[in-house]
Amino acid sequence: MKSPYWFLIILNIFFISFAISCSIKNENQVVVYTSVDQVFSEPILKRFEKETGIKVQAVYDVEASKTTGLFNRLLAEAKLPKCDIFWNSEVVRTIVLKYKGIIYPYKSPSARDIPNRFKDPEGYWTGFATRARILIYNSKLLKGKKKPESIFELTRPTWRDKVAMAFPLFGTTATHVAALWSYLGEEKAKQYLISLKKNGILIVNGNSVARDLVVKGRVPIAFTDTDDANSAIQKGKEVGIIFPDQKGMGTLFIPNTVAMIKGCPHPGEARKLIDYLLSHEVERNLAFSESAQIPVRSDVERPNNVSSWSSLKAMEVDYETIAKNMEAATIFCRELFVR
Amino acid sequence: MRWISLIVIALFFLIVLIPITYILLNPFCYQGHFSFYPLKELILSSRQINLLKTSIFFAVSATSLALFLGVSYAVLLERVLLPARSFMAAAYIIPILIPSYIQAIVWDSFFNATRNLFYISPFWAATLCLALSYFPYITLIVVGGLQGIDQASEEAGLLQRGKFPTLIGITLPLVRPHIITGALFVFVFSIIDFGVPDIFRLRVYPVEIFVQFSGLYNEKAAIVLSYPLLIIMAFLILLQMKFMLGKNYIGFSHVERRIFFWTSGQAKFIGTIFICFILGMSTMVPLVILMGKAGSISIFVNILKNSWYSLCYSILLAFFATLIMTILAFWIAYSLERMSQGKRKFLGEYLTQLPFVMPPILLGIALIRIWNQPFSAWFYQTPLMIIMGYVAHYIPFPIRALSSAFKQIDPHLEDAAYLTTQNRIRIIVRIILPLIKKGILAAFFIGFVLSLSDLGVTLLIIPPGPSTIPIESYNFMHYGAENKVAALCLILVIIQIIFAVSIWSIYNVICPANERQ
Amino acid sequence: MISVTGISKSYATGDAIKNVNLTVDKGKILAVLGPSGGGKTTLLRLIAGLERPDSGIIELNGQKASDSEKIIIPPSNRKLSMIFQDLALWPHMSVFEHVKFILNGVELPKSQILDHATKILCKVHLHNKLYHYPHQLSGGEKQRLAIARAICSRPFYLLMDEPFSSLDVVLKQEMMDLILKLKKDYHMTVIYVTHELQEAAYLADRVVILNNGRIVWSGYPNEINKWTITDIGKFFRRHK
Repeated sequence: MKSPYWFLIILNIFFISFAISCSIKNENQVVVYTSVDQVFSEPILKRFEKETGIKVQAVYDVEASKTTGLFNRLLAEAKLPKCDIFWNSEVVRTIVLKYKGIIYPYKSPSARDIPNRFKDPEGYWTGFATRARILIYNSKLLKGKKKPESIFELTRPTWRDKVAMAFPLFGTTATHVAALWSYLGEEKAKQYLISLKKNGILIVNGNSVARDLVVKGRVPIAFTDTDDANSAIQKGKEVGIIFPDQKGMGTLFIPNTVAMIKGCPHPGEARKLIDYLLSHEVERNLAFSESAQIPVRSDVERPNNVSSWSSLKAMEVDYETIAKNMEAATIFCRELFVR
Repeated sequence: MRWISLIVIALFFLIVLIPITYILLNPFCYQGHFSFYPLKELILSSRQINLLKTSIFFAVSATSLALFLGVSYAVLLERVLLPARSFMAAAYIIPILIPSYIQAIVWDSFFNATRNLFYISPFWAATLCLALSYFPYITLIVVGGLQGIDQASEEAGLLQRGKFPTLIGITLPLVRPHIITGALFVFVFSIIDFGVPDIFRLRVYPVEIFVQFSGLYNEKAAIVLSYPLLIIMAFLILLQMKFMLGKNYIGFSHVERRIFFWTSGQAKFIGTIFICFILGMSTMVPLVILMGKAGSISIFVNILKNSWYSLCYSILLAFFATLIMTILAFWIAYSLERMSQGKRKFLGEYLTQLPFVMPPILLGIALIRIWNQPFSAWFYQTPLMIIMGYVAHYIPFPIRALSSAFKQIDPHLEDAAYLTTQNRIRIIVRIILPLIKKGILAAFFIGFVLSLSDLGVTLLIIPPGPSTIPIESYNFMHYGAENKVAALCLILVIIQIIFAVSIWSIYNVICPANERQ
Repeated sequence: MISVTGISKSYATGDAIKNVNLTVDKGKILAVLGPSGGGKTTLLRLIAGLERPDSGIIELNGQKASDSEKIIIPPSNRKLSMIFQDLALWPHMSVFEHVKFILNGVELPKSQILDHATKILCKVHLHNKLYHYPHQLSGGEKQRLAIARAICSRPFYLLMDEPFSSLDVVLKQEMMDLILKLKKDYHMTVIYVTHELQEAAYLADRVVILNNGRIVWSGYPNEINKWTITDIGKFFRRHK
């Protein structure tokens, strides 16, 4: 401590060299922001790296994160994008990015056989590997009891104080509510949510929390996503899945989406990665992974526990309409649930 | 001397003030014009006002409870001769090493398990949880204060009034700056936090801000909604300054000997039980539950194997950020404390505490907007950005910790030294630094712990590639791998304990026992 | 009456006090003279009960106050007060608050506290500085505040640890006269620690010289006045 000068100087040298070494551009690379759980996305990105030799630099987020960090980061970086690809675990935010002029169309050859409902007509984004909004139930608690077939049954007195749901302001739950807005119309959707609230629905912090409440038997039934439910089933928990409204409006499916960022630094590599992500192989891997995502193409191989897309009735809603209804739905839910 | 001050001020402006100013003024620029239109958000609905009330009440009660726990702990530690003192003097640090959301998860599962025995409302559960995770900040700072008190001051009281009146009338008032600083920390932590209340399903005001972001993508509204918090903050700082105005906390002699009011008897017994209770609640319960959740040893091995790179990365980032933070904070706190009372000082105090209440995501966005430019491309996508982010976000903490340490140093000591040498830097290095070593260590430690557990800012500015431990742990949490989260958390706790121990040994090396008397 | 029998105290750094015996009669002033580091402060701290002797007994008014086992009468019950070497004023309290804080411990009706405090502060001529803080006072005022604080609870015993060492001659004289007057008014027993012979000679009824933790001389103040510098050196030299 005799002289702090040399210490500071060394520190400076260290810093600057650190910074320079970090900023040396590696041309053969691609930058991905993804909200898909790292456990699922990382192996896929690693495989791409291995197959093509293109270095993948990723920033991982989680969709439940109320910070929605990466989404906001993309908006903030719009002027000078650093990211090439946004791989979103859901679809609405990607559409908002399109409205905000952040993404750039690219029609990937791999997407040719993806059903049109999962693609942007102009090619701004492409969907693959979907998850469904389902009901998870505790099979011990509901043994011998009639299980609900529709989410509308949950407003009945039988299910008073017995249902859990994630905060409908964020994540796929918000998408779900906005989908109801689009399908039922504003009035009916509002009515439904009010009845849920009156029936004592338990609003919790995230889909996985809702699932855990069911796993632990705190509540018999909860709204959640297939991936969350499936990880509990694979761990041998006594829970089951209901695809709701199969006889009615159908179940809501939410695909992964991938989009290229406008003005991105590595467009060539970005296209290669998008092609790869939309390939059969990736859909297959996601179907076989613990998240058990349902392939959108019926010819993609999948394990037995993953239902085929074509065997289920999907809610007939347009994702763009959902995105447009999002704001109104969120404002209403905020008034209803945040107090 | 002059140029150091200039550099520090410049750095402070560059790293901290510019992003904050950007955020604060951003709403006024509406569709390319200056406008007050976005301020309409400030007309809060009755629902929002209720949330704000809940938040304030929540922060006040969490702070009060943390004050009670933290100050009693510090007093018991420093004024009662407890058995296993050195253990108790170290153990209370552990709760701050456990991120508050982990504490919340642990306590939530604890209360769920015991919900048939007793019911605790979400409000009080969240309050208890925050108080348990943040009381060590108060203890840490107050212990420093207690050790700096002039011993004779207390003896004068002991002789004529006895133990309790001296404690209440002399000892505690003398560490008032420390107590207030600690309280301010906890208050800010609790009023801005919504992760913990959310886990207990308590709705608080910050949720509104985040809904604006994540649900409605309305950045300006989010910023405007955070104005009330900034105003509360300004009010608190004003209150604090007014409270301390004209008061002096400098002891007139510098005999640094430890004085124990209670060396035996009932006080010792009750004190030991109380401390064990606090430690049990804040440390044992979470650690045991975490160990239970982590399960087998193999998970630790696995995590270490997969995450060691992120681990080193996180530690390096936090270390350098804290280093810069502490150096800047030292200078800033020093200048602030030597400033005469007045508007300038208020402004200084306010500006240096502003980053306190910045929601991390706002700060992240500001940093991107400001530094994602062609001219700064050479460092924008480097870890330097993260370091800057940490400094910008957490610098108020070291500044506060150091300010209260400076308050106990007699400016005459400097004057005395000034007579022998013109070199101010030498005076600082030889006279001031040794006198506030403890403050520096506390500042460094707090900065490090906070930086190491940062999530909000990191996520926005981390360069693509390796990630940090909090991000990994958050990913695990979302994925539902509770065992991995628990193991990662325990590993972090252990690393930070090692870090704390090494700081402590460094302290003992720079400041050998004989010098401390 | 203060009586100290055979007390010793040692610290990690060495012996501070070795087998000291002394008594001070009621209403008298004992001056403890000696070079710095001779153990004078330790002696006062032992009598005050701030520390426990390693061996020996301290009695106050015939009652055992502390022995090597424990502190029997806690410091606050000993009816004594102390003026510290650097005064130990409370930086966060005003002049009036200093006195009020002490008086709160004395069983006095609330209404009389103000009265009493003003009276005492008048005695030390601080009545026009009631709301000043220590850092706003001059050296002499600080000294007088320390005295006021020490005597306001009407202690039986007053211990003074080189209290006037930083004052000029005139002020010092003033203070010593004040002490003599207060002693007379309140019938206090005083132990006055100093390293200045003149002070001791002027104030004390009896004088002891403490060097290297032992009493090396004891006698009356008039004897000191006759000493030459060699005599002083004999008692003040540091023996190893």
